[in-house]
Amino acid sequence: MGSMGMGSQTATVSPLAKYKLVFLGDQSVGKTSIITRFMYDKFDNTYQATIGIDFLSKTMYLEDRTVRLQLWDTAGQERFRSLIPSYIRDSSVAVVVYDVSNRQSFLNTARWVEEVRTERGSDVIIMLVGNKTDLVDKRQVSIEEGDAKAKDFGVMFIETSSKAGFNIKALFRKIAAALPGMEALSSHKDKDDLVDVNLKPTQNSQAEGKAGGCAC
Amino acid sequence: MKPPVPDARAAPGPAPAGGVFNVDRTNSLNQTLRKVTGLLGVGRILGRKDSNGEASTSDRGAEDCSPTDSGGPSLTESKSFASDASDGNGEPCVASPSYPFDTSSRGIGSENSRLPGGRATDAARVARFKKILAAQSVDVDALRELAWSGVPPFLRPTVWRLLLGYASPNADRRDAALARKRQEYMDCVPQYYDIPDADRTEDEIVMLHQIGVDAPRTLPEVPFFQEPVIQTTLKRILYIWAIRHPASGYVQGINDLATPFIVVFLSEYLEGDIDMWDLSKLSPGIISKVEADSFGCLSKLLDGIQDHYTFAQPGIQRLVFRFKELVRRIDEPVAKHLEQEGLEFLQFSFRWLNCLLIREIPFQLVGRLWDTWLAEADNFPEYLVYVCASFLLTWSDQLQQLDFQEMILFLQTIPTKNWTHQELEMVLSRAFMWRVMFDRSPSHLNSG
Repeated sequence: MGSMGMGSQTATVSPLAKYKLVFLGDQSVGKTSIITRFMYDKFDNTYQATIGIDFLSKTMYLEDRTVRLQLWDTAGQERFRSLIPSYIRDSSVAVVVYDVSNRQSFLNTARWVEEVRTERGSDVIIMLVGNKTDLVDKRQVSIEEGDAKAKDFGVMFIETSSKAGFNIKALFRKIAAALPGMEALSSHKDKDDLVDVNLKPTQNSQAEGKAGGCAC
Repeated sequence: MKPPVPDARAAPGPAPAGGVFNVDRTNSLNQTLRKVTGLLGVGRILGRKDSNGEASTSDRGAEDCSPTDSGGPSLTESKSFASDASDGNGEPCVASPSYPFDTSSRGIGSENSRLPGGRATDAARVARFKKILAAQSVDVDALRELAWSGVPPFLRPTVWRLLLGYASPNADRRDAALARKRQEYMDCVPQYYDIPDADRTEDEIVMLHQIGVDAPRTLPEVPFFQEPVIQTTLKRILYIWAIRHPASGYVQGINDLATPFIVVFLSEYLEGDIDMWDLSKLSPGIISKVEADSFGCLSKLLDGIQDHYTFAQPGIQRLVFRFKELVRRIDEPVAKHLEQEGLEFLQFSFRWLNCLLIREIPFQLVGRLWDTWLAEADNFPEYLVYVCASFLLTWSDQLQQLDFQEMILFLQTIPTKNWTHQELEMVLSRAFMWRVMFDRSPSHLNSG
């Protein structure tokens, strides 16, 4: 956050700052639902199970800059775990989701956070998300517990309901606010050093059109 | 890339100049894909790129050139047509108006009926199927060859059971053996499924819960799958399979793999558009049969690819590696482009392999795809890699115009919505052709 000024300077000449986010958590906690609510503002009970990893992209227009978020939506089932480390390595943000009506998924967040720390050390933003707050009667994890656990981990925390559309935008704004502005420069150098930067914004906006991105 | 088999380039044929082994061969293949109608065109390509790179005749009929149909002689010398046409399942040997997986193919079928052979709907092919099926002891190899190019929908239940080795080739034993297998499965239900959670292990409870979550979101576009009776059927199949295969257990995506079997075995009792199927007409006895056969056939299918679903899924990892290697050899520009953009094959092909491409094509084409899958038998995993390459390179030109993000989004929702059998068969045939080329020349196309 300290380097925000630098980020907004470069934003005028460089392509969109790109950030990779990986969504982690047990099966059926609502990772895909959160992303779909964020992307398309809709909720559907009948998503097919995510197999392996899905990719989505959305541009966020913030007050002082525009960022492109590239989201990796991982499958929660145990059997697919071996796929995940490479995506964690590749991501500067990890969103660890649990289901407030499923205590086991809450307890398992420790494993996910640990996995992220193993791959990225402290060079990562982690957000703990308690999803499905609409299931009021079935709640097994209180907001206080979630908050305490997040403090314990030293990570950010929010509760959401993708079904009700509650706090989904807040979740992504919170993440965006924590993004380091310098990231734009380094990720740009990584991959696009041979590309004329002037060309990129056009390509980016085309890509966004296809991805259904819009201001949120 | 070196032109490896000069002879093949000089092969006669009406295809555009440039030859299949040139750098622009993919373009010409893509053009072919767009322009060719029916298997006749595919047959020409296959003829041109025959086995040892020898120029083969390009004027053979579609039937002779169709992929595995080269066994014509063995078919003509096969057993005489038995007058007892019963195949043990009491099926009518008359096509009813409409079958699942067949909704988009009717137009093509009529168009292609002008061509000799080639189509599953063709009367001559149907006769050949019936002849094979009517034998006292079904020649499964011959059936495999014939089924590779598509099974008439009304024969699918019988043919799939035989191809998978679930039904006995021996007509005398078939019914009794099937009855025994169905009973064995039904005995598993009270033993494994209809028990209190207290009698299950922690892992089994988790697995059952997962299956319970996945069943309602299996094939959500087909209404009858939401019917309680089918939900129960699906859950029992998946759970009992998982219990009996502890090395893998239930893995998401296996639910998808059960759906073609359920639909095909139901089609023995229901007619018309699957969106209109009314399951209330079916007795519990019939549902049990469908369920047991679906379980038995799913088990047979998965037996051949078990390590796709065991810890760390080594089978899939291996195929992804070979897929990448194959694309590098067939279409270096695309392979390079993917690499430059940082796109990993695993990122887009994991689901392809985990679900055997079932989610990548319209459901009404899945039956046709599975005809070929099941006909491949032991060679299936290897062939699957070739099909993935053929599928991916269908969009070779487009992919090279896209950056990382555009590519991965494109490949996740690959535009096959309007596909008919024609496009699918082009992919399958091209994969077959590539296998012939590359298997007999493991390294000569190395682009080193």
